[in-house]
Amino acid sequence: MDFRLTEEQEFFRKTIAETVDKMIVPKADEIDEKDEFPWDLWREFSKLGYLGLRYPEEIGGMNADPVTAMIFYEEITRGSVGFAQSVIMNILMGTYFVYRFGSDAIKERCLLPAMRGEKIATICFTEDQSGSDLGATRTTAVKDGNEWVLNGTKMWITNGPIADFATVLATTDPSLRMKGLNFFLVEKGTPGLSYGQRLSKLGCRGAITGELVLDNVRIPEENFLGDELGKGVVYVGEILDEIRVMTGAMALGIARAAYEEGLEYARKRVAFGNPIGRYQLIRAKFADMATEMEASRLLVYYAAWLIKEGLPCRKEAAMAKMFATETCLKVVDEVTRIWGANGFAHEYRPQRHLRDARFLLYGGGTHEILKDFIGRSVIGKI
Amino acid sequence: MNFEFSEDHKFFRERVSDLLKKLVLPHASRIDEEEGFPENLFKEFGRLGYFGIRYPEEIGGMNADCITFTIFAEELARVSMGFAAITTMQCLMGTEFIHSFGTKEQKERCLIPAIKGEKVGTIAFTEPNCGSDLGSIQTYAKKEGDGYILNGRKMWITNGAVADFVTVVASIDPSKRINGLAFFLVEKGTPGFSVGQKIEKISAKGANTAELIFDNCYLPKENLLGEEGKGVIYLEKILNEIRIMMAALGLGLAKSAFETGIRYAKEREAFGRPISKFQLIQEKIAEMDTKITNSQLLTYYTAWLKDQGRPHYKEAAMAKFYSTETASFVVDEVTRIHGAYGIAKEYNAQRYFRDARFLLFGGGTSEILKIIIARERLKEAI
Repeated sequence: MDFRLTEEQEFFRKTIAETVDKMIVPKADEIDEKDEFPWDLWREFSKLGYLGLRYPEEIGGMNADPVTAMIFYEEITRGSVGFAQSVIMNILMGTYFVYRFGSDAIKERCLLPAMRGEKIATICFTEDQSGSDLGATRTTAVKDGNEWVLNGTKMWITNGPIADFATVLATTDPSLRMKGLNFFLVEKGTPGLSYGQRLSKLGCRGAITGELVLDNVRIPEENFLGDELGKGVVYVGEILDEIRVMTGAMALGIARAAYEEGLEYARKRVAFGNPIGRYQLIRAKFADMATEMEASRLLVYYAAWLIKEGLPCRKEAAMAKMFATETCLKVVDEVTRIWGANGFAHEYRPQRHLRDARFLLYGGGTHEILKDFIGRSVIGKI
Repeated sequence: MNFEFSEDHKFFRERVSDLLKKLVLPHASRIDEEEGFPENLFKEFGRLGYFGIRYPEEIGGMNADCITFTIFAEELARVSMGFAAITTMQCLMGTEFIHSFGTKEQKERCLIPAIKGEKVGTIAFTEPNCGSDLGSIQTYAKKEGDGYILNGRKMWITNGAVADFVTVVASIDPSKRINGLAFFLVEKGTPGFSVGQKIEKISAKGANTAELIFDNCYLPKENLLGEEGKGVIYLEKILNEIRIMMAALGLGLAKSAFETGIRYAKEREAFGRPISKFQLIQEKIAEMDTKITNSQLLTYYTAWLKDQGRPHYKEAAMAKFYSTETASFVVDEVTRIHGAYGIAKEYNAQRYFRDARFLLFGGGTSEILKIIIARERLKEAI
């Protein structure tokens, strides 16, 4: 057993943490307040090469292992969830299927510019009536000669209204439910593709979220992303664990940012003649927060290590997402309590963390879905 | 034992609920978004006489008992926390000490117009460095000739920016801490009295909240409400009522949020059936329903104790603590039931989630209340 990070990973954490402190933390409140995509920050940050974090060096990536990737997700989210969500979309979900199945021409046109921050990527799963239940996907893809014709409306699309290309989940045969799902690449400017309403959200503001409407969108055969039809769900499985553990790492990032605010306040704020950090009820809050954050950290990085080693980890990844996110919700709750009424004043940060944390509940599986899955895995076939 | 509301109470609830649904509910989202003072609504509501709900009929009030006032607060919170905060301030804390101690002229100038909705009243306890710990109040009233010179800053003042008169808690002798407090009436237009920064917050947004500044305000001696040094004793007289009222606000909010959650769970389908059919959703509904029922019983039991003239200091603390924590629990679960729509600004779930935070602080934080409950219980026989 060895719980230490490698020297390389330690160095990576130090570097990214410094960048986050310098470049992102000072802009986080403004990103949240304006709820607009921070183009200047995006351009500045893209130059550092992190958008190619997971991809091979030969194509300009950093070739980071899953543990290193989690360090990145945790640190950037500590700075700003809104910005982190946009960045991670480009790094992971928004580009994965293009990297995995795209032709050279597609990679040249989409993946490489996305790694440089010149293009914005996204992925479209959710619809009005399908979230956790992917089998209920209603967006259809129908073959017409050498082309696919896509119709449907996608909801809750991160980077949606500003995306240059989208990986769209659609069914080629609704009667097959999960086994009829496939991914297709749709690029900006394709006739029939339009951006519907933008969603105003409680948290994770600054990440632009909206609808994508596909009205008889015709794309060439080349834009089908996969080896064979009907395997969309299998392909999701390739990155599902990573998405879940990544969400856990994001939760750790928010929790740390909030926790730091709580610590500073508990040491400084005086009531009944003592800094409130001297009272047992406040100390107990820190004891619980610190313990649960430590447990979350271990679970998240253990799951990342399992992914890195190529070991099975579907259950552990689900646990890591759920536990770290619940811990985060608890931390942001307690920190706003420690801050008293100042905890819900816009002037201070705890209320932003409280709002941001809610965003993590859904993506990668709601906790109701994850609990059901974990329970089923543990109990086994009966 | 009899758990039924009287016919009068039932009739009152029906009437006020119908009125609020017609008058306030259609504006609830707008009140939340605009974060200004809903002046027209306030005036219209005032004309109906509800601001005098607690006061004798001779002065235009309704002479309501505590159960009726509790019903009133609950129904208000069901439609709009912002409007509820404004109204309860006007009915209770903002006018109580003028009613108890004001001269005839002060009552005519402040209380009577406030009951009619022509003037806005508020109370000012909190300071930048003092919330729960009232003994450290720094606002200072210095004796000068026949009156007082008031200096200090008050924070988190509900209705602050629009108040026509303020009941200010100040120290006449800081060395006496909690035993040196007194209440003073300060009216708009008094030289040296001004409104400082407006506080933007995530909850109860329609109730504007501001800082008040007192810079060498001269107050004639009749503006001392009650006696010097007795502020805390006077405060304790309404503290229980404030706590019962806060519990009622928690109850109303929890009920509205819960109903929204049930409606969504019945409508929303996943995996081929309404999500209300799944056990994990049913568990949430069972827990919420049980807790809300407990809040209801505890809150009205305490109101009943008050109406009976029985001691209820511990029960009021319990009711406030339990009911507001229940509200926080319920809004958490309801936003989970809503999936990602739980954070969409378009839906009410996120408003309920934000509003619940407002209830955690005023009338005593949960941490302070736990200590009070335990101390009271420890005084009793085993």
